[in-house]
Amino acid sequence: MNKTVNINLAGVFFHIDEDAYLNLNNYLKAIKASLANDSSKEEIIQDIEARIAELFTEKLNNAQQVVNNTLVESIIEIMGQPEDYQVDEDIFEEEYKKEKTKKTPKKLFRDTDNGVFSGVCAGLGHYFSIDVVFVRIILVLLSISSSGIFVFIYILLWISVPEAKTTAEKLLMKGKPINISNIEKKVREGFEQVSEKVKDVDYEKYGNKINKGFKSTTKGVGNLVSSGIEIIAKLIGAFIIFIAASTLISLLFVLVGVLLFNLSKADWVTYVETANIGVPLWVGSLILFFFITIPFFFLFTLGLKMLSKRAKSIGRPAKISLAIIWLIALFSLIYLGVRQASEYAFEAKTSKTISLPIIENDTLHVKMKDFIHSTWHSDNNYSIVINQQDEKVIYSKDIRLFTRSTNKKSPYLEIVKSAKGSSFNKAKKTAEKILYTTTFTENTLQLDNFLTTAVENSYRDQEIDLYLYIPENIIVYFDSNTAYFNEYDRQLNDINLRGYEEKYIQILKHDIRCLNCFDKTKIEETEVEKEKTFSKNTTENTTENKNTKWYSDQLQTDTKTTENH
Amino acid sequence: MKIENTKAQMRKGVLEYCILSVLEDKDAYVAEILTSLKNAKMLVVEGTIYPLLTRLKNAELLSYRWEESSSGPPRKYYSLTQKGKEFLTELSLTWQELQDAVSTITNQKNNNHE
Repeated sequence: MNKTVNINLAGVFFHIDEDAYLNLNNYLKAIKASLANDSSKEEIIQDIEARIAELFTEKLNNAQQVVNNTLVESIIEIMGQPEDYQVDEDIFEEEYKKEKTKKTPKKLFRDTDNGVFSGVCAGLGHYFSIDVVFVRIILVLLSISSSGIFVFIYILLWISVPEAKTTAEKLLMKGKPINISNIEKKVREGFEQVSEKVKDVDYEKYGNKINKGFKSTTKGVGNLVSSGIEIIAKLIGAFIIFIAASTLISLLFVLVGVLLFNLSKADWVTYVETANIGVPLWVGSLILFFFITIPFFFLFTLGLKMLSKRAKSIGRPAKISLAIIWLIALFSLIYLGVRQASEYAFEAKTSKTISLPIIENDTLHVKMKDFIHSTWHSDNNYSIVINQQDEKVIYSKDIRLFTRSTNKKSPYLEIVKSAKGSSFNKAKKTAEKILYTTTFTENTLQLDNFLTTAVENSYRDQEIDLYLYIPENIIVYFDSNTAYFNEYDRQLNDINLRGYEEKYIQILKHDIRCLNCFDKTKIEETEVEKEKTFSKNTTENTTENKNTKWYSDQLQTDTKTTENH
Repeated sequence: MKIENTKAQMRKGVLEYCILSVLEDKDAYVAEILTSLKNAKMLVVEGTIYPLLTRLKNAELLSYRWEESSSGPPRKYYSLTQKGKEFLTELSLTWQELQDAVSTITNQKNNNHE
């Protein structure tokens, strides 16, 4: 008993056995596939269907009779195989020729027949018309170098790429046209394979597949030897692909990382944004990404071409648009670079003077105040920290302390804030926004050893110069924590206080006198002086004066060392 | 190079001329054309003729009309157009020349062999 199907062939009704129907349907599909893809295709198929209908009516005795597979087979015999429908195109117009030479499109499938694990490599090999050996070598190299990312990609491909199960899919995988003769060939191959497998099944149940992989590998290597130059080109191609692909993938990861971090507003993003490149960070990173990756992408396609002559070109429009994107990225980078440079074109300063009323004959203490903070990121210039108000601020230790003598009555401090910008006004505004505090209580001047400014003000070389003017004869005491910040410029008659921290120092005109220096070096120097003084003194025989003399000599020595610094 | 392919090519090359010749005297539908061609052993399988007929029709060498049939689907009756007739005359000339040329060459060969 057979199930039948009702069909309508060219307007005539037929009962047809199910298997006969499938056979006929496949036959018509195969013919369709073999015909040149033009407008008359449908018409031709209609003519063929009409003819088949005619033949059916001729062969059937009455309308009740069912079309069986034998009849369909005999009809196919009369009509001929799909390739018989192909007319030699050369006889006809040239335009038909073009269409015929078009490559059959390929689809990516997993070739489980030739695969070691899942057939992903074999499928890729078919798709790019590369020997599967190279695909495997590239994959292994990439897996090693990418520390396993490619294993993940391999698994993804395994999951997402369908296995070529039907004969039609297997043909599509290899880019062969689907027609009866090809299908037949495939099916026959399949039978042979099955019989081979049956033979091997006893000893090589699991080893079989792996063994096969090795076999195809050795076969590939054998081909290698036969054409040396081609192999070298292919190896170079593979190497180029390897380099380009790993660069592309790592950059892609970086880009995705940047974009994700950007969304979550990570701290280092704030840090980068303080440089204020003029565009949001993600735009900047996209531009940079395209600028770097597009050349690598072209390198990648070049490698593919070297590896396989049949590798598809990405096409002229794609190439041109990529080139345009690259140029846009290049110009954007130049523009941003110039802009960034211009952000530092002008420097402006603002100054403020604070008077320090000290009690006469008292010592002025100078201290630096540190800021306990947790640093997120820092380089030589600045860092991003959280201030007491829990805000992220730019933090810099660009503080310089100059000490000068003055003939005014009381000491005073001049605070000069400076910053850079694309215009003088902008620079000045940025300078004004620098936060810097000093306190003066009980003869103690406390200076911040840092400056801060809000993140949105950007880092523009903000600096603080402190000028401490001290009247002559006043005694000052610098805390040890000022050591790092003490600066002087001899041309401007600054006093050099380096090395005189934690000492009581009397300010002279452009000079100092140390009141309690017991430094080892100082003592040694003093002893030389002492001997000199001693010899002088022995001639004068005034030993009582010795101590006072020595004291004054020591002061002279100190003065000298200061000058010689 | 397969002998089957060459044979098929040779047949296909002159098939167009044969179809036009069949239609020279009277209009015919596909089955009739096929019978003539098959009787003359010009055609082994029918498949080839359908794309050819469509091509010839598209080239305006043939035209067709529909006719009802007592048994089976309606039939496409093909006839030569004016252009088709001219085409056929020219092809006949060419065929004659070709036949002469081929026979001259093959005869020469045969004579040489003997």
